[in-house]
Amino acid sequence: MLKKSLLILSLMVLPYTTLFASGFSIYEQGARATAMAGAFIAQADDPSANFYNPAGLAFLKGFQIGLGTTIIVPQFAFQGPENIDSKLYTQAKEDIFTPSNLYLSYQFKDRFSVGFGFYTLFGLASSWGTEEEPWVGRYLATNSEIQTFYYNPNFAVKLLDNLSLAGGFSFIQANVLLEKSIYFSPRNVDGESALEANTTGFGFNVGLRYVLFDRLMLGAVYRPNTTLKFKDGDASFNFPATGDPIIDAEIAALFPQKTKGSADLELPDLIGVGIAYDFTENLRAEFDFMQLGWSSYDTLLITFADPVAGQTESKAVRNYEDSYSLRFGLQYKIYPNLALRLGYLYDQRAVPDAYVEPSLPEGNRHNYTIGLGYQWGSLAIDAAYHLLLQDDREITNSVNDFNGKYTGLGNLFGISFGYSF
Amino acid sequence: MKLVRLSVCLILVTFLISACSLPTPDITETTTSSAEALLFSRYMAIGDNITAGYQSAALTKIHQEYSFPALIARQANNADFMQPLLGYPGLGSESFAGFGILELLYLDNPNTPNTINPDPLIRPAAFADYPDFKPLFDPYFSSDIRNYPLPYNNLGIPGIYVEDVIYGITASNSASKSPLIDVVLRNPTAGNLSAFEQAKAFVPSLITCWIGTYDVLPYALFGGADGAPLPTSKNDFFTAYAELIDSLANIVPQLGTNLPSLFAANVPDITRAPFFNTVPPVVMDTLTNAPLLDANGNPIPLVGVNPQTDLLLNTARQAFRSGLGIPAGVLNGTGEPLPDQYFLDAAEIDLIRSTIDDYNDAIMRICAFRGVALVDMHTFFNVISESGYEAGGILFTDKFITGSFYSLDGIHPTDLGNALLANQWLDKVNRTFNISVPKVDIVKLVQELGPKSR
Repeated sequence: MLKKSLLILSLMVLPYTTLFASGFSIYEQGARATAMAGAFIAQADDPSANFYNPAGLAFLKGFQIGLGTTIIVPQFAFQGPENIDSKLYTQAKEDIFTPSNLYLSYQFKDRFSVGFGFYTLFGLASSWGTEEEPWVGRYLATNSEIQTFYYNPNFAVKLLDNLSLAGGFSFIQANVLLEKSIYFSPRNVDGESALEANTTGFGFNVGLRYVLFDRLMLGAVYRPNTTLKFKDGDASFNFPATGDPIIDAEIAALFPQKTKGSADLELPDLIGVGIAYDFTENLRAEFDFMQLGWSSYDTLLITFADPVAGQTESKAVRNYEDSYSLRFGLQYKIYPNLALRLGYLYDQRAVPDAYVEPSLPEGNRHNYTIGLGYQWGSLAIDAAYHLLLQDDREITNSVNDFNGKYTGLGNLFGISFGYSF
Repeated sequence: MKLVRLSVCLILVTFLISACSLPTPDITETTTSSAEALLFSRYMAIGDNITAGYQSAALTKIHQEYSFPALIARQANNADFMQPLLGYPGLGSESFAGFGILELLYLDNPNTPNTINPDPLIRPAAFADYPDFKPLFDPYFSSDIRNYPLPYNNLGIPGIYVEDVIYGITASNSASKSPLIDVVLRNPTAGNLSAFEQAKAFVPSLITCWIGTYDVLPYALFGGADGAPLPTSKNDFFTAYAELIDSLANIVPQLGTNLPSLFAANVPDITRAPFFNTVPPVVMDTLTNAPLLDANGNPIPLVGVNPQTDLLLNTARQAFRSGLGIPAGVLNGTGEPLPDQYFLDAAEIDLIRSTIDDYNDAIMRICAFRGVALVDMHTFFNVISESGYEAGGILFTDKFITGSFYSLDGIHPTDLGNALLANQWLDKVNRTFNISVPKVDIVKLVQELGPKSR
């Protein structure tokens, strides 16, 4: 009865934000690669090749297994907004994420290998303020979370002794949770909204690896974009009881406590090339270039099964841009069985200034990595430390007038175990 | 060599277990310094309706406490800022008929269940329902407020003209005849001092002066009809405003190089307020509250109204109830044209806008001449109407009831709207004196206000 089309409340309930971008693609899927800033497309010489470049699987002997995790400790803060208090400093809740990975590779014929990778390509979360101490941006974002688990079988073939080609597909399992506060202005009541959805999808990947003179390695990978269709997620709008049954009824008529929300999310395509060179028997260097095609993500449309504040869909303009990263990695063998690794990586932002917001406080990033690898017979242990320093980002043209300074850094600790049978 | 390798390994291990962290800045929020507090310690506000904290057609404590001058004082840690707080339901435009503030009874009237568009039910609170409130003899919230021995710091008086600030002593001898002059100035008890003289007697440290809107507003509120009070003429306005600013500039300290501690604001374009932009210029179906369509599916124009140019007042609904402006044979239509007091035609709108432009031109020139910093409220109100103004994720627009900026009278801002205004003033003071008094945290204020009672 009260679901009226023209009651256009300026409730900004609807433009849900998301948190995908370069900053939230996780490329730390093996401590060995991570220690070299993820420059691993050309090397791809352990089972994590399933992720970095499956063409590397063709060069792995016998049956190998890799198991690892990355402990990610990001820190983000926002200072502003300018039109409320340019000095107001809010630090996002410090969460720890541990995307883990499992890799298998098996050379079942001289030139043919199969592999399997389990990893989390897109993920992480941001969380601002608490129930007791809500933060100044709570109408834009409070809790945002995404996880995408990839189950990725690969098949690799050696076309020549030094050239291999691989392809695979991924079964993807994805969950999102987006929460923020909503404001019902006619009665000045604050509520909470949440959208929780999960879905599955498919993705593909191909890789190529070429080795010259036994010391020059070239690699290339491509992952086409994948659309994740989140259908009939749980959308909820909860307001506290005001003590006035008429106001409560007004709110209930406009905000379904529970309804369904659906949205399509297009994950970007990824293209990467790498070149590695063994300068000496003990010193190896690799340089990779990668691009994520975020420009495909220009709007986010969420449709609701029941009208919310009189509207059944919400459209948020995102206008992301393609972003690239440059990765340099070095490996030096101190002993034949002990390797020291170093790396630097530059990660370009995907979100243009006007569209940066707290759910995705990203920016250009400089990353420094260091790590050790130890080979103990058939067992390989790799450890990495990755320091992510995000350029401070001063926003002056936010479409939400939420202008201020975003700062961020991350500490990542990786550990991987490998075993060849 | 072995030692070197070992120490390299040790350093690495140290690296691996150490971690960097984000440095917290020394200042994590803006606070008021004692010098800033001193600047506002004897702050006085001069003005008309909005300055007084008038909202939803009345002046009453619950909203006076969030008048922009009160919010400014609060941001500057001035706990002594006194206002003529009135009890509930307050005094305002409906008081002659026995009513105070407007209340939003229903966002969508449940007695008309078939409406497609919600039809809010707004009702003024009757004095009869509040026997403790004495509108004529003692409308004040408390005797402490009534008997406050000094001038009120908020000398904003709803319904006054520019010249009343200096010359208005009592309602009856003023140019505007606003009855609230007596409530705010308390003459003759206060020594027959005008608002200006009371401000002067207090020895102010800083003054905000936002006056002039009511010199033109009554004409618009009466739909520019015959008998509507004509706007103060351009020349009279100039003379009165120049005298006021000269006088005020003389009673405030001069800071720095001849910067008077006096801030002024210009006049918003009142024709863009929701009071003039909510009722559509077509016949509305009383059952659905949507435009009534003719046989061809087109909306039916009102009689006597040009839908392209004219603006209907919110009061026009009363005329529709008696069938005025509705073609004969349609609903309850009498076929008689909508009386002039219910709408502004193109010429009337032109007159209002050009008058406001003249006022603002005068204000700009007078303030520039005197070195008085000017807050451009005209532009700020236009932003609200054109693109909306977003603060902390709340979008303020000119939409009636749902736009968050305008109160239920469709003319005066809400508490949150006043907070935005306070921030405009604070921005100007901060930039002028190169200080940083914190602005009102709109988002925190939402929580402080809590759910509005009906």
